[in-house]
This record gives sequence, structure tokens and C-alpha cells, in this order.
Amino acid sequence: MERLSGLVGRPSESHPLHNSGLLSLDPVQDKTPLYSQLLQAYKWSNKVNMLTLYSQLLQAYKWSNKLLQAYKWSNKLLQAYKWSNKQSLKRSANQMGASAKRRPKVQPSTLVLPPQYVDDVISRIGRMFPDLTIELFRPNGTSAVLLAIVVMRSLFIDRTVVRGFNENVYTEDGKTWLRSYINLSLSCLSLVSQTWLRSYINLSLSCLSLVSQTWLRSYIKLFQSPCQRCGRFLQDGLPPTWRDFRTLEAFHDTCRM
Amino acid sequence: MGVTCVCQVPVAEGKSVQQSVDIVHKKLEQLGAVKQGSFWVDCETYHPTGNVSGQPSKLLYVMHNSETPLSCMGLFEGGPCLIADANFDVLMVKLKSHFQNAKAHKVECRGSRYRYCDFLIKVGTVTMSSSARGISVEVEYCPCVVPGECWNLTKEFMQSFLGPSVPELPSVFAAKPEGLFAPSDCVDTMTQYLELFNKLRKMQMPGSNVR
Repeated sequence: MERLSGLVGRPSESHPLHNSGLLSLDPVQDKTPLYSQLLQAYKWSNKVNMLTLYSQLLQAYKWSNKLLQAYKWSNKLLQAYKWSNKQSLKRSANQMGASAKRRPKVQPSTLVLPPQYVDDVISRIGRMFPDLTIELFRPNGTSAVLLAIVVMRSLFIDRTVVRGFNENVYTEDGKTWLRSYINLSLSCLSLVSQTWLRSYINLSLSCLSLVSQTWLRSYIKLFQSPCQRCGRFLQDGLPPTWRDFRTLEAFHDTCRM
Repeated sequence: MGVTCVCQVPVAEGKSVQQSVDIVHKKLEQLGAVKQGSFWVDCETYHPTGNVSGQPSKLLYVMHNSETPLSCMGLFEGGPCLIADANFDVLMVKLKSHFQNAKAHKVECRGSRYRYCDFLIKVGTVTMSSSARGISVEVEYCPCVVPGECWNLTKEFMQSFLGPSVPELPSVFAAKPEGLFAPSDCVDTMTQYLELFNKLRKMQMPGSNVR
């Protein structure tokens, strides 16, 4: 027996069914082809698992595409609202439902509309479309100076993007920041970056956001404030872009030294 | 597009129109402006025909600007403005039974375009029937969209190369409510050009057939 046992071949290690594959070595002829059926079942379950994974990936891709389209559409709506807020265009009242039978109210005939009226109209539009979220922004009240996008991680300021108010921020694919063609925005960006760096050293996180927003708010008179030192509006074609940290007075970049 | 101001520059005493334009070019280059090609603006006048009511009819002006080469503007003086594509000119030909083109009244402004920091400056010679009528300067401040906010800043820049001959706030901006600005379709710019062209058309320039 010991001599004969050495002549028995080793079982194949490439069996997909592991121990169940040893059934193939059974020399007894059986009416039921158990091994081949087991093999078929194993291959079928593998295919099912693979197809399930593919369908899940495809659904995730379709959902992310829809999300991206919804984001692009909401961006366009926001830009349209910014433009219309700048213009204070006249909006028509909602005539749906029972109010349609009543005499319509006299619409304001001037282009200047109070901000509350514009808020009411926009919120009414938002209620008409419950799956649409509208967020209102008034960066500088009814004026428009520059557009500043502050990207933050928690309370830390990661980066700042400054653009002209009538410039496009993104490229057509909606993914890449478009470079500003205005020298003023580039100058403001470098100064804003210096301010954040200086603020990190001296302030706690809770104060940092307040200081940064106050400093940004001081730019509302960017085009109207002359330099406190030289008294002029322009130096090398740029308005006074530096703001004193304590008094928020305007200085040219070279005049502050 | 930013806030644009169009004004007329008087011809220097003892100099021709071209010499005065060259003086302005030189001052801009001394300031540090860089030349960026050329520009043109033109204006054609159309008389409406078949006026039944007997009241003086308003003239229709069709204007073109090299900044918007695919657009064409039709406007009445002090009235509404239409912005259309270049096919509007063809439409006006089709409407010749209703609007007669006064070809002798066509006004053109051609010149050079300069860029200084965020300012765009266009210095042009206004001509009518091959006769130079005056000099126009258009200054655009690109970052700002509200005219009332940057007027002092723009005026200071214009004084740096035009001297004392700087106008007050253009009437097209003075008539607007505070804080509003027309969209970037150059309607206000073309209205200013139209006012300038009409003013120069009424002036007489004896012995100035230099182009």
C-alpha cells in the first residue's frame, strides 16, 4: 500500500471548485453528473456577480451626470439672477389660482425696485418649483465691484479667486477656473493672499473669518476712494487696492510703504 | 465690457486733424499704452417715407462697431435701440420702400486702438463724405460696470493724456438711476457715438478735405 500510494498523482491545484473539485477524481460512474453541474453553477454565479457590479457602476455614472447637469443649470440660473438683480428688471406678479380673477395690482413702472420686492418674487418662483433650490446673493448690495470666491476648508481659507464682475469664472466645461483678463483682479488677488497669510499668524480661527469678511467688505468703494497718501485715484493704471488693517483706509500698493 | 465714455477732442490750434491725432497717440505711448490694432464705427441714416400724420418723422440710424462685428444696431435718437445680426442691413435694403438711405449722410470713425492696464482707448478720425470733421476718443474702463462709481477715476485718466478738454459725465449715464448699468451690448456706447456724429454733422469744417 505504501509503495502504491506513491504512484497516485497529485490533485490539480488549478481547480476552481477547491475541495468540491475532488469529485472529478471519483471513478465511480454516477447517473448524476455532479461535478460538471457544480462547475456550471460556479461559472454562472461568477457571471451574475460581474453583471451586478457593471449595472451598479452604470447607475452611479448616470446619477453623477444628472447631478452635474443640475449643478450647471443652477449656476446659470444664479448668474441670470445676478444680472437681473443688477438691472432690477420689472417682474410680473403670479396670476395663478384664485388671484387670477381679481384685478391685477398696478406694477411698478420704474426700473428701480426695492430689494424686498425682488426677494418676494424670487421666493414665489422657488415655491412654484419645489425641486429647485434658489440661493440669493447680494455681494455688494445694489452695486457691483468685483467677484471674490473664497474657498475654505472648515475655517481655514484654502484659496481666493478674484474676477471682474462681468467676467466668466469657469470655462465652458464648468470645471476649470478661467484666467482673469483684468489686471486689477490679479492685483487684488495677490493682496488678499498676503492678508490671509498675515491673519493666520496673529488671530484665532474664530476671528479670522470676521476679519477677512470685513477686509473684503471694505472694497465696496474700490473705484470711488482716492489714495489717502497721494490723493489720486490711479497709480500705474490701478486704483488703491490696499486697505489698512485698522482703519480700512485706501492706499495704493506703493503708497502704503 | 466695462464703462465706456466717448468724447470729442478739439483740433490743436494751427494743426491739421491728422497732426492732432498723432499728438494724442504720442501722449498715450508716453504714458505706457500699447497699440492693439485698429477700430471703426460707422453710421448710416434712413429717412422714413410715406409720413401720413404730417409730424416730423424720426430718422433711423443703423450703426456698426468693429468691437461687435457680427452685430448691427438700429436706433432712433433718444428712442429705442434694436440690436440685430449683420443680416439687418439686407433687411433694410428690402424695406427701401419704407426707409430711404441718405448715403451722403454716412459718417465713419476710424483709428487706432490702445490698451493701458485695464483701460481701452480708441482714438479715431470722424469723416463724412471723405471730409474729416473731427477727432473722437473712446475710453473704456473694463473692470467696472457701474458708470457713477468709476467716473472720477476715468476722468482722472483722461486728463492725463487729453489735458483740460475732458467732458462731464455723459448724458446717457446721467439719465440712468443710480447704481444701474446697461448690459454689455454697447447700446450706451453707440448712443454716445450717435450724439457725437450728429454734433459734428452740424458743424462746418471749411477746407478740411484731409482724410
